[in-house]
Amino acid sequence: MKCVIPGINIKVFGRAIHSLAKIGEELYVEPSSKGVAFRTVNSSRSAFASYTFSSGFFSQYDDGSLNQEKDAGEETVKCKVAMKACLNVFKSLATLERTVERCKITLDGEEDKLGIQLNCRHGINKTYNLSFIECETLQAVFDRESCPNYIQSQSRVLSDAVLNFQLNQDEVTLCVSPEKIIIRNYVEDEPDPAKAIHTVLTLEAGEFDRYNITGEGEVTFCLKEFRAVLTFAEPVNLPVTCHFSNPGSPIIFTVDNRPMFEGTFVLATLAEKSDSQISRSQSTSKQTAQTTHTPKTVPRIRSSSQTSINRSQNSTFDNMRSEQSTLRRSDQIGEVSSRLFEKRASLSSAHNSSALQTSSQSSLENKPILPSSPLRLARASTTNGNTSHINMSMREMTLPDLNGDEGEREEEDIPGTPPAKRAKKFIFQRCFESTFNPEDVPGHDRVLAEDSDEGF
Amino acid sequence: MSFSSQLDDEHNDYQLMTKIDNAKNVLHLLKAVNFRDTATVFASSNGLKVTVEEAKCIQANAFIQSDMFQEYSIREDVITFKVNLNVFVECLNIFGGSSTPGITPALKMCYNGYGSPLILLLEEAGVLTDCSIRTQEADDTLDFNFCNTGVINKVIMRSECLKEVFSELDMSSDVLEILMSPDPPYFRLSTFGNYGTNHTDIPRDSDMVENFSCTQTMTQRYKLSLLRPSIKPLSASQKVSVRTDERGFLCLQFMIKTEDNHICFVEFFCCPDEEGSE
Repeated sequence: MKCVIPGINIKVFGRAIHSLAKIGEELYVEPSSKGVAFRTVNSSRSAFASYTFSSGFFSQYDDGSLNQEKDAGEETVKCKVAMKACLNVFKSLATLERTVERCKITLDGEEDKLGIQLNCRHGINKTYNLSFIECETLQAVFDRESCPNYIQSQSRVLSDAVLNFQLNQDEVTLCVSPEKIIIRNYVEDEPDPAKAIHTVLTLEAGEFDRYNITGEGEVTFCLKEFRAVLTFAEPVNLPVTCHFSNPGSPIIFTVDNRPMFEGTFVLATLAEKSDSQISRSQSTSKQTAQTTHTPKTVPRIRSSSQTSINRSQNSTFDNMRSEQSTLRRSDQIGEVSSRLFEKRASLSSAHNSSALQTSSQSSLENKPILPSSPLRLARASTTNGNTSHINMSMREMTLPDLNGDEGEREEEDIPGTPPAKRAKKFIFQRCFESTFNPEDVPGHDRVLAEDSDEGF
Repeated sequence: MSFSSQLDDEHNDYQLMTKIDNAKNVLHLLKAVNFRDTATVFASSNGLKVTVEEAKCIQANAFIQSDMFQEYSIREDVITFKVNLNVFVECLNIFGGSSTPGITPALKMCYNGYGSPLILLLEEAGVLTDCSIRTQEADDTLDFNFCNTGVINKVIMRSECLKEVFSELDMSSDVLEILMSPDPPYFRLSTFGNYGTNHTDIPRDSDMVENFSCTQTMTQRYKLSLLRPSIKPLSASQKVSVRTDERGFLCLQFMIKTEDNHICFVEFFCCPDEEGSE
């Protein structure tokens, strides 16, 4: 594949890369006869982003399918590269705009290198050779047309709205009705609701270019990922379209500038409140079970630890932090992601296969009642996924039983992985304490002979 | 502001005594080489040379010529001493950065030989500051033995393009490889980092290149961490000359224009990376 981006389009392309970099760690490059798609997915599989640039965007485009000496059955190379490597090339948008005249991107199937060559002013040429890994198509399964609700608005309107939320705000809820939309920040059950900041913003239907809301409803999704959409759309001054249906189904954001390019973001949404109640009681009962029945801690952890292993295998330390923020909805996402991703992935990398397994098992995910302290613990241990989850459950043992006696639930005893050494130390704490107190020995105060090494 | 009589001293028998109307000129040059705490100062009738070294592999020299000063008197042939460069720079900057246009800090610098302190008298807008910095015995400095006859390749270019290249270098790479050749790609800087190999080519016919004389193709690698101190003088300069000799030693010469249009030079030497060389 070989394509050349003319100078005027380079900034847009760089913006797209920056926007993708906010979502995932790997950039999937998929050339086709019509154009190239650059895709990514976040580590918890709850956000998918894709920018497709058609051949009209480039001054030259050759997807490599016209090569004469091609072995029968050889397809155009689909690969993924490290996102950081690509971001490094397009790091400074201002410099790109100022100095770069052309950008040539080539995929060399033999050398396994993605070559990016920037032809800059004054004859200076910069060449970046990034190694890639061949992979299968990354495709999210979603149906935009079947979503009953959609709104389209100028990106400026949405970015101004989003400015009102705190920078560290993880999730927002869109409460829709036929007359207006209320955007509010999503507050997890805090111990003191009065201390949490609540931000509520109302947008009337008239503020939108297109407004097609069938009924009342609300969807909750991650604000950080939505910001990534807006940082791309706002500078290029394009409208953003949102398609969504009921909670739990993904929300789809589109930035459409066909035939040149199109950007699609698919974000998972939180499922209905009632589902979360069930899972909360699950963890509560686990908590009561844990305070009374220590051995049961081990079996229950197994299923959640498996998901954590999967996560830690494919996530860096940074990702762990973002993952913890999505912990709350991870069990709902389990169901969503099984529908969301039909990944015909090569099973060479472990996380690919386990991603699909995650969906069925994450419903048993350990949900901390007080998110703050367990999350901090989990962050501390990054290498061993097992340890992080066990620590969470250990902490829960010391927390006061907030929800009272909800009755124990019968849960099958699944033989689990042995607990980490730290857990052992906590359970068998007394064994590690010294039991011999020299002052208990009768007559200890009568010294018959001084220690010979005193005064040393 | 013109030189004030407050700086006139009664006894003028210092071994080295210099006066300059705008201390900022000296300050900028010293800041460009201030990547280590201490510097060795060599004073001669030509002017001052301030040398900073690191790891016995790199050396930076700032040349402050005697004609930059309003007064320059030296009683010996060569005077050398070692001084804390951080303190020296801080003292020169004692009046801070911005000032009303036209008012500059005046400097009188005195040194009275072995053991005596370096005395700085700075004055701006009637305020006088008196600094006395202890000096030490000068250590031997490296002699890179870089002579003009041994130069194989030389490129003189405008600093701005090299500045940009250096600022975008992949810092995850241990080394920077410099290729200079009479054939394409003429001048290439390469890094080998975590994300792959990056090359930056500057052709000889680029309008950023003022002089290009390369006799043979040479590729040398230098530790990127050692080259980092050269970024400061590069940013301060207008032009830079890149030269390598037959041993692979690199010499960068930066041409810096001061506020009152004096041309000064900062020189930077670096040893090639042992592992890479043949």
